[in-house]
Amino acid sequence: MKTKTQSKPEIKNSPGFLFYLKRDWQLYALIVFPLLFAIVFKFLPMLGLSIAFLDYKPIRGFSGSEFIGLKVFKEIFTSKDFFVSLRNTLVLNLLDLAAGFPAPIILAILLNEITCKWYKKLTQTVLYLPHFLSWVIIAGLAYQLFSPQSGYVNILLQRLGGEAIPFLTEKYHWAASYILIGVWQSMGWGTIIYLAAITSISGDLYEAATVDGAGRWRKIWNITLPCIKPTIVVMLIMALGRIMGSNFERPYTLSNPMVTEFSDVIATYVYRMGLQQNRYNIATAVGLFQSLVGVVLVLLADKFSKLIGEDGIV
Amino acid sequence: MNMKKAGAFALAAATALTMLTGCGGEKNAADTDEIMSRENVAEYKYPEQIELKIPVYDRGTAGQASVTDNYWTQYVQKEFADKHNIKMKFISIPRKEENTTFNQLLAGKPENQPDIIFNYDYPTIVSFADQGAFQKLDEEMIKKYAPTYYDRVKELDQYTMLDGERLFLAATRPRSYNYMTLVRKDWLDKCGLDIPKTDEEFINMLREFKKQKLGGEDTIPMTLYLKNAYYPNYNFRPYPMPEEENALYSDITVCSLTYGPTKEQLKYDNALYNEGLVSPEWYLDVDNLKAQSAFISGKAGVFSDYLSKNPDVIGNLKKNVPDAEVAFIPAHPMDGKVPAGRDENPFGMMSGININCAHPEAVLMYFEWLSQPENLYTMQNGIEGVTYNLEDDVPVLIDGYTGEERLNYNSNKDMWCLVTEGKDFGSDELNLKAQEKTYAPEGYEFLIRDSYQNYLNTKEYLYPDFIFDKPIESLSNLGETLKSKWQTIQVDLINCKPEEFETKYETACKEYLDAGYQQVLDEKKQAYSEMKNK
Repeated sequence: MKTKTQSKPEIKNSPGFLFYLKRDWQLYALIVFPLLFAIVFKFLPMLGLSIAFLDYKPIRGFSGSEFIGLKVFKEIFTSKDFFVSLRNTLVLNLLDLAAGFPAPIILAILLNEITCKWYKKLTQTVLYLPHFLSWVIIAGLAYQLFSPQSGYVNILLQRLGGEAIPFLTEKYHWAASYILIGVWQSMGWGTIIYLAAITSISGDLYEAATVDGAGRWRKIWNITLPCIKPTIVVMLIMALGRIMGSNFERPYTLSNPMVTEFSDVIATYVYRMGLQQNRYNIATAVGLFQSLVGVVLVLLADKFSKLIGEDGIV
Repeated sequence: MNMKKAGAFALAAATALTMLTGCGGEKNAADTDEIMSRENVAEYKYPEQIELKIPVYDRGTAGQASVTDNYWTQYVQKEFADKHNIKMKFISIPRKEENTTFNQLLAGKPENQPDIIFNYDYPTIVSFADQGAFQKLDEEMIKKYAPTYYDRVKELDQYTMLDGERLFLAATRPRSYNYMTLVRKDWLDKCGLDIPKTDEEFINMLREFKKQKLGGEDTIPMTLYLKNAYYPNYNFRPYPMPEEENALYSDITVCSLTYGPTKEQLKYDNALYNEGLVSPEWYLDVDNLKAQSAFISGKAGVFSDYLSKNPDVIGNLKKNVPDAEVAFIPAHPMDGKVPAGRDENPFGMMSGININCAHPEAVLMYFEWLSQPENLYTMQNGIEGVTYNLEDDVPVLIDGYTGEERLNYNSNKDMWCLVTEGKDFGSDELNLKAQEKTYAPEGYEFLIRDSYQNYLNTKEYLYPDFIFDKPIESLSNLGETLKSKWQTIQVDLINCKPEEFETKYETACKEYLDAGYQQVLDEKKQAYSEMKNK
């Protein structure tokens, strides 16, 4: 492909867009369908965002609903519930990031150190499995195990002479359980990408290090980690983009009325407002706000990544 | 090239736009005069086939045929629709997502919308009406196309009108007596106690159950579960209750937290919880199912639910505890109080005809067909000798019949609920007999009799909810927010230490009023006084 660097400033008539279009039309034609796909399925639905500015009633449709400007946003930003759910979303996601982000990296390195092949394969498979369980099942299991009186873990604790721990029924305990269950569910699956990155590290580096007398710990610290740093950074950027995002099934299924103060996140708030209460404009406005903050966060993360000398994603 | 591509893009964009804007509604209600001039409705045949789209609940019950295509939908097609050159189309509505589904359907193309929209909940159906979803109905037209139906529901007229306009088609609600509180009779005998008649005796019984550990180490004297917005507080209500109080605080959409009797009831439950007389994990039980399994396993002494053969709670209990016996607990009022309670609404399902429905008369013809006694009887019971047998003049469904003529969930109710909420055989005696055979496991028919007797004894103290003549908007805007607040508050207030109750209650009330309950109360108050000053 020709690039801009070839058109030096002294050449006056640098060929315009049309020139390239004519010359490489086959290539442009190839991109048309993906582009159309994005337009039809990603951009056109954004027309629906207008719901946020309407007193939207499905029966009346877009044109029949009254335009109410920013009234919905005012209602949201003066609502205590919204801020509670926003706070919970951020706090839970940050905790998730702190606990859940390093877990797969550490696990991948551990797995990589296992030399017995069948044992490694078996461990990997067992660790992947929770990823395929639905949250409904995981929550069911969690309540079977951790309920205050009837949960097996607490029954065991009490038989051993200890006190029952309110894993899921006291808000701080709940938050910890929520995070740990999440880490348990996703860390195995998360190792895949790091294991792939580790596999691609040249064996020469390790051999050279062995010759120089480096132990396992040294090799991990000075070879493995620096080599997978770009992968880690890209994953981190993507994770940061999700800080404002919120998963619905996990908080919804794990929640109970004892802990709603901590468990009500944006997704459950939107569900309650939009689908249960049929206030589509509130749900849309919250979704819009959430996406805007998400975009800003990704852009910031990208800046940061470029600042520390890694490739960005924009 | 560029132009072509631009053209292609424009075309694609235009197609996509039409797809989106095709959702607008257009009204094409039929010309009433022309329809009304038809003679002999029963034999009328449309010159060109029309389609009638009727929603039907899908409850996702295991082992059932598709709710939109089964023996009985085909039966309707054959016996009713074919005669008028109508094509029946049943639209499945997931029971637990009914509002969402209806809203989605109504936001779609008019030709895909159901011809009627229904709901059991009055405020919900009113809010549909409020959005302009329904056609106005003409009484003369109902009389003409659905005379049998009209006669059946005449008494419900006041509920079908909103702001002076006739908008709804109501279904009747024959009484059923299968909701009850059961107690372990064998436990009572072991304690040497009689069935409690007052609240004092009731509490005493629970204490005794706990003391004697009749259900093992973790005996649950009485089951309790997390309540929705409907939190019965009738034990503490004044009698007779002032109408305005009933209007403000009787509601199943939002809990009346700030109302005195609600506070008393919470305090009462708090005391029971702290004394260890109710399920310790009640707040994790949202659908009474944990309570049910506690009762079935023989751990619990008192349990309230609808008696039914499926699941057969008593039968399963006896499998686990062979010498278990159950009895009915009648109303057991507190000292100096009457056995008050909430009366059921006099109506069942409420339907409205979609504003986009082109053939409202066909809807009425369907309601008429369903209302005719012989059709209704067949829809409710099926075919004699195949799905039911006659015993003492009442049809008794054959358990476990799996042939294709088997009835859908609950005797096809989701199909005939448009016109009535239960089986009515014309007399209390026959209805009772039928209910005994329908709901009670063999040998426990007396439970239905006891429940009926209890109804007769208490019926003068039952209040139906107050029905406003216009929608209470804040209820439909804030209901879910308040419900979720209320559930948290409910757990907090029942589980706290008794000495913390007062302060916690004060804070909770304030929070609840701020979250929107004040708005609901204000609006109700206003609507009530307007209604009275008319």
